[in-house]
Amino acid sequence: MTKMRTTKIERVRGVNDVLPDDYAITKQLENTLRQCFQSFGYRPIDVPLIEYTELYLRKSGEEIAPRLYDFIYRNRRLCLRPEFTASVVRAYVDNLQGVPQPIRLYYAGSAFRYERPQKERYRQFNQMGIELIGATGAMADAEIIAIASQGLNRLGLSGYRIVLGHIGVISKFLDNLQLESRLRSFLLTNMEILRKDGKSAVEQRLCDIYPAFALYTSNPQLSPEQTNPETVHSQRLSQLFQGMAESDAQTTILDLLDSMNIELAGNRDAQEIVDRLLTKIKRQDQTERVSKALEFMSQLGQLVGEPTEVLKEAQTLLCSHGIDDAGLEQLREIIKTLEFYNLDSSQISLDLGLSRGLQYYTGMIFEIYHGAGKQERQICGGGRYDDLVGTFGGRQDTPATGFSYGMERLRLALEAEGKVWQVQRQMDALVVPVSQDDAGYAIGVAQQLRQIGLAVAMDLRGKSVSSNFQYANKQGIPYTILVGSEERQASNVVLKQMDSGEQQQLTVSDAAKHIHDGLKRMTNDQ
Amino acid sequence: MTNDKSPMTNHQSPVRLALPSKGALERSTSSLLSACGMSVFRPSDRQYFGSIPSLPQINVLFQRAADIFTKVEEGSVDLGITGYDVVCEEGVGHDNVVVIHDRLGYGKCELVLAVPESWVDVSSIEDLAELTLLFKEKGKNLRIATKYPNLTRDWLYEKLIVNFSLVSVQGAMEAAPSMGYADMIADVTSTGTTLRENRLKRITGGTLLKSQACLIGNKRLLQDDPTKLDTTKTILELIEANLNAKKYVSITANVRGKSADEVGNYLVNHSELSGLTGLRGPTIAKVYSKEDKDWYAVTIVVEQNMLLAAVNHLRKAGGSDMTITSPDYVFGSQSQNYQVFLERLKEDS
Repeated sequence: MTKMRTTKIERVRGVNDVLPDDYAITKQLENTLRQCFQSFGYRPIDVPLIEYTELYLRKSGEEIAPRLYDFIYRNRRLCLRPEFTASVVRAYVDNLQGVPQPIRLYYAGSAFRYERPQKERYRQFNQMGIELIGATGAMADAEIIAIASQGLNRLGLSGYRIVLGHIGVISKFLDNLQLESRLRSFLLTNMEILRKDGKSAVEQRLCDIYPAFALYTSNPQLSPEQTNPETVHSQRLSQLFQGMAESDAQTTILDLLDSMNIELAGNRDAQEIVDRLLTKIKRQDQTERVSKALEFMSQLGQLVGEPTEVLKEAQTLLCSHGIDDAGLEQLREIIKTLEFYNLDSSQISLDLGLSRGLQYYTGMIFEIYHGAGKQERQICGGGRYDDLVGTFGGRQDTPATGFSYGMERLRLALEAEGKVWQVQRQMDALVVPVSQDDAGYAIGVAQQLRQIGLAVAMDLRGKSVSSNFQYANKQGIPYTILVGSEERQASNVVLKQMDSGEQQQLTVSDAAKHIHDGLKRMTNDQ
Repeated sequence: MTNDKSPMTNHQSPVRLALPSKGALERSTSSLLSACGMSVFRPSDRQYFGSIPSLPQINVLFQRAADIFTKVEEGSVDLGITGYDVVCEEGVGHDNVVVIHDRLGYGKCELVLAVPESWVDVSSIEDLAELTLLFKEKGKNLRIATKYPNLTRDWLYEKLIVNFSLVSVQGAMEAAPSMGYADMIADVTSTGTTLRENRLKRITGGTLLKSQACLIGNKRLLQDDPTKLDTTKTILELIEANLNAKKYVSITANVRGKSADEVGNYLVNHSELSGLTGLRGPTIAKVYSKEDKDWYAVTIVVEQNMLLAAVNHLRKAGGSDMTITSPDYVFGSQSQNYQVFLERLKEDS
């Protein structure tokens, strides 16, 4: 009976196999970047692939939640890391709070996001980046940006642009509006869509999550009472409770509910329910403020380009809205500091509409792009996140800043520039026993050669000498070592150099020396 | 189309159709199929296999409605009828199931969010969003009990509500909040009675899904086998035509007139409402009456809700002796659902 063949098992959608040639190139890239990070005094850290989901829900925000590989395993809610910063900060809070600051860390590894599979977007992807914990100010931020840029330079990438922004500008504006926090984070995460697809696209998305806005946009002339029937009730009610002291208002509501025979028992505290009801009654309709925010965001989104010019325009805009310009001042200083790193200033532009997807940023943010038009891809992103340590339960607020590269995209950017990386030779020699009887001696020879640092493979299948030569040629193995009974008895080997075809009988140590010299010559020739 | 080259080697594999084995869904499915001329034969209530005598190529399997999706997904049956809610819930991440007809017209229910009545401060989805943040500030997590974790999670995520945890509960869902192992629920309701009895209320904008019974199939199995596709088409056509027919009535009236043209012209040109003179227009035939020669039989098919208007219109045209019948099937020039289904089938899985 023949062995039953079953259907093959498919690769999971959105993830990739990295085959040896690709792997070798990836490692070379990684090593170059490691050297760059280390030259700035950064040290490697590794963090777990799985974390409690809570780690990402607490601050990273509404945008990342749907893309988490989030699962319950044995009653624990876990997820695969969608990025590194949260884990690194958690590791800091766990282990490194006593260490003298600033702490310079770098990481490399896979992250997972449940994305719609599409070109250059994978569900498992690789990031490499740094976190600088415990330093504030332009010097720190400039160091981060400079490292990001220098890493790219060391890889030989040139046609990239650094786009610099500041999340503080827009978040100050939203703070002043006192928007409900869900709407606030919606607006922050939709900056990019606002710019790309226009205001109406954002408004449409907004209507989905905030139905009252639908009526408002369809007819801006309507008063808030007309757009949101609830406001009519709440206005009447809020007038009713206006003159009352907080405690009186609460008692009144409790009495009212009691008289209506509504019991406030259950999982929530009666006091909490009444408190929130009062807050809700007093809360104003948000649609107009949301609309104002969208307007301001559109204006901010226009502020893109050469730094000095943009800063000047931004100053005017912020002034007209009465927002302080601390953010702009920080950007100015960062740009000034970057000059000392000899960064090509034409590679830097400002974009005050930049917001990044994740919500933990608090100050400077930046992205690096490569290519133009359809070929444009973001290869790096980062920024300052001063609240994250506190959010994760750190003993004290600790400023921090960092960035990460998207390794797959970085690789594609390099390829687009025609930077072809050499796959290093994988094997130096192939040892071939002529007959079964020579196998033992052949293994000994191979072991000897390996000990002096050569990469040596054995013929395992007992193939003919000629087919072994073919194999060596196809695999690009520069030397073949033949071992027959004659060589075995004389403790010799036959060394064949594949490119010249030159063949000679030598002692094992002479063969080793010969290969060594030959390889050195080949490397020098390249 | 079907492979009719060599009937000797062409052994048609039967189409396996899974139907709900009990409850309201079983009864409604059975009556829909018999109304469509596909009466199901089930030897006894406890039998798990049955057949459809008018379509002998079909083997019927009776399954729990909740299991039917899985059966179709894994390919142990080709087709199945189950709730759309189940398909949406279980279907997340499964590209192997195709919805062939999503509105079979029964088993209607809604998946809704419901909170305790005592939460007087929560009346809308915005309130709920705020509440999750309030819970988060207090270091708690809003717990939602549900049998629909995928639908609930994805829907709330889309509304940018992320701070909650799902509690999986089997049965007696509505009791979860009062028992204390969840704060609120996401569950299906058709009348809302159970919710009210358990002192729960729906919130504005909190409908996650409207569901009814639907016909689903295994994409790969149907793609690979033209004969199965053919049988699917037959089932779909009959169901579609039958469901379509429910919208219409057929009216036949005797109308007095000089000629067929005169009657026809009057009917077509004097109707105030569109649709009064049938799907395309009246069919008119001469009535051979002994005493009076000027009678014509007029047949029109109109929508149910236009019945009286159409009757009055015919009266004005001189009509009498009107008989109304309900058609069993209304077929169009081609099956719309079948075209949609074919497109879905082609979509890359």
